[in-house]
Amino acid sequence: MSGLLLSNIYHSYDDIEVLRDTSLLVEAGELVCLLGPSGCGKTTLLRIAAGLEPLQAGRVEINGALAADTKSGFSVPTEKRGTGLMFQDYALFPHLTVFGNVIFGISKPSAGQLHRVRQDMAQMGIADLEDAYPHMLSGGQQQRVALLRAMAPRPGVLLLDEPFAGLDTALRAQIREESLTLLKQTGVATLMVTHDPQEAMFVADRILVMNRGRIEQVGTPREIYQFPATEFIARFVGQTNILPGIVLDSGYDEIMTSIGVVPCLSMRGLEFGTDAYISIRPESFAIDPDGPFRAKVREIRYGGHYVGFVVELLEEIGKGQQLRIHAHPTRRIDVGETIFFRIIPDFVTVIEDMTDNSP
Amino acid sequence: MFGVGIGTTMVGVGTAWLVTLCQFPGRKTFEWALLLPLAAPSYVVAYVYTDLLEFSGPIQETLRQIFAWNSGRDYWFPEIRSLGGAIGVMTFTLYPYVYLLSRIAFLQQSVSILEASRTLGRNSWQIFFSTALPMARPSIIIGVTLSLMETLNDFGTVDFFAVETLTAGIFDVWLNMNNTAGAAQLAIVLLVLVLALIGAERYSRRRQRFYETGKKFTTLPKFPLFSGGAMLAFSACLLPILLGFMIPAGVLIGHAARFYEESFSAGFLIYTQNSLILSIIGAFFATILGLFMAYGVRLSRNPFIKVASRFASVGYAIPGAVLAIGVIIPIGKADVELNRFMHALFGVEAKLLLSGTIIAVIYGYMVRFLALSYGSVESSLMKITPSIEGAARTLGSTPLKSLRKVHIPMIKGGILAAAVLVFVDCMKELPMTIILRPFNYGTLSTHVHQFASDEMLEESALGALMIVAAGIIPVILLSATIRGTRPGQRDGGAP
Repeated sequence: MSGLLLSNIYHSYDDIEVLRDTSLLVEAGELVCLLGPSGCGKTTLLRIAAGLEPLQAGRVEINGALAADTKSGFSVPTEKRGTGLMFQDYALFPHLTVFGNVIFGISKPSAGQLHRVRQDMAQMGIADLEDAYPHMLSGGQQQRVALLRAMAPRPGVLLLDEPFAGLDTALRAQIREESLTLLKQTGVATLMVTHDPQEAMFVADRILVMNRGRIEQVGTPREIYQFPATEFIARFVGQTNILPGIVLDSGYDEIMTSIGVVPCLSMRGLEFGTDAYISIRPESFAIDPDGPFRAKVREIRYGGHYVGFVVELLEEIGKGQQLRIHAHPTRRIDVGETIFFRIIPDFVTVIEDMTDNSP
Repeated sequence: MFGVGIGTTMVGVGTAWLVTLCQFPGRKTFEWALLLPLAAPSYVVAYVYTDLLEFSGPIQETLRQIFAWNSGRDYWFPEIRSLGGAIGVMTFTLYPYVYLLSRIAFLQQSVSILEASRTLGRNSWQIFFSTALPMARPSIIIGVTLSLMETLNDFGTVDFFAVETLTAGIFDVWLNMNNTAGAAQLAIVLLVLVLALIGAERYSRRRQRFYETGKKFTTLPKFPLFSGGAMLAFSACLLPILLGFMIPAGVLIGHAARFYEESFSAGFLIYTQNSLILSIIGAFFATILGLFMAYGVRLSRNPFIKVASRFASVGYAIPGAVLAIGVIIPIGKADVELNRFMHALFGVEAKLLLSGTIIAVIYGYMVRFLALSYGSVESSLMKITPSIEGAARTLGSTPLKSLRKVHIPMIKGGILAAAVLVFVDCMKELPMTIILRPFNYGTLSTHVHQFASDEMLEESALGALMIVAAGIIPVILLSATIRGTRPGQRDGGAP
């Protein structure tokens, strides 16, 4: 069985704790993204899985076999773990050709393996670069070589450290597509580190959001975006409006907030009367002449695939409260205009205790 | 020692400033030519000048003929074989250390700081004293420390000039009075001096961090110098090269050509062969050891290993005479033990297996020059990003295999440079070779020393020339390296 299981990992650098009781599972054929701001410990976790960082506390299992365990003091050296790791700076060997780089991890390549490597190279569009040296390649080409090199020995677990971060926007989208196709074909268990929420949502089957050494939420991209568990995630993955409120006993899932009653899709099982904070994504507002909320437009941000407004409520309750609202980009509204809107519950969620997660 | 310190500082810093920040004819040539005196060991230069300037030398001879003087009582001429002479010779052979480091410091100074002081109304002299010099101070101190260490190491010059220094004292006590304990005591005094110097150097390096400035590198402004100034700058740069390299080399070439028959003897070939064998073996082992040490330090997380390796590379700072004594005592002990062992086991006397053999000499070379190979390998390893290691390991290479397949191919140049540097220094090394060499075993350096001491410089000129020629190799390497220290500046020109 291929896959990666990390259990109860703790890690510190010079007394600064970077990982606290972190556990995760990546199964065969699955692409899991570790998402978090820089310095949250995600790359450390990757290096621990590969054995490049000695395990300080916890347990690592790779492909169903124990790779490291601090209880028994057991540890398999990096080179015997069968993990492929792609580095953010690619770390191509400058003295080897592209082909030499790609087959570096296969000790005695068989004809079949060579054939497969060439096939992969052709699929990624670098077949004609076999004899080139890394310094002759463009950034996108280097990226592809690095990915293929990590995949060539067909590791059970593939670790990718910010694999697309070095590419410019247009190229990134294209290479991301190509890489995803190849990854899905091989069915390798993949753990990818990124700090870009858009990218994580785009490529991942599941996302683990990390913050300050802990995994704060695990979920599909949709779950993470629609129902962020903490204020940190709500703000880190997209934009949001955070409001305090009290759970209502109305028979519906509704919350009494400072701007009035707001329908809420995810109540997280809170009892009525409980104090709670809610996150309302800007997409959760619908501009509607019959809507119950009236507000004045203060600022306009044109985002291409949406148009964003900062509006100020004109209602008695919550007067002066500012909200971020997104609308379809065809909508033309000027600063100073008054609009009416309603709130749809799909992107409204109760978030967990705020105090613990304030930065 | 004090005199050498002042001399090297003035010559080294002055020329570095001129070459780096002023514009005058011949500047680009001087950039590398100023390093040339590094090629000539100071004892060789000392022999040459003695030969030239002593009573029976060609210069006084000529003067006597011109002015019809008859004896030394008729006129005054500076005595070269004196403390002053020794200081002069050493200044002009050792200033390149200061030159090299202050030039690198000037090259790395941020342009904007110099420009800032210019816009604040300073002229080029004031900039030099108020801005550039204080900023470069740590590097200059390191350079001076290096040249002082070389001064302490020197035996050939002081012995020849009969100046009473500690190093000469060690030899005297050791070789003439046969007093190991006394020599060891003197050696300890010398060692304390050196450790003080290392301390000073470390201290100034710690401060250097604060001096590192922004990474804004454009072409440095060059102050143009005209007619008078340019002439002055030209001669200021030419003089040290002339005195430290061109005159000695010229004299040696002259002698070598004239006395070719006498010097190109069977003995000379043997000396050369000995020198080559010792230097090649020394360079080989020092490089291998340096490579593994540097790689080990890179892989290891153990702070003890880092400290140990730093300690192992202190040898370079320790004068050869001190090291030789430090080597010969334990090796003698090892011989005694080995003998007892052999005797007990096989009933044969092994005699002296280690002391007085080339094993002792090579061991000494390794201790002394390990720092060179270690430093060279370490600095090229530092240019490899750690993820290269990670990549090799995750692709199934053991640490040794990745050293062989990845690191060594990537740092070939650095390894080669390490080997060349050690090789050349082994060729030049004199004090250690004299003490540790086997009986009647000569190398080029001992040969030159011996003949020159016996006032037969002419016969050994060819050997001295060989040493100088070998010494030019690292000079070329060095000047290529410093050119690369300033990113963004393409200077071109001669090597």
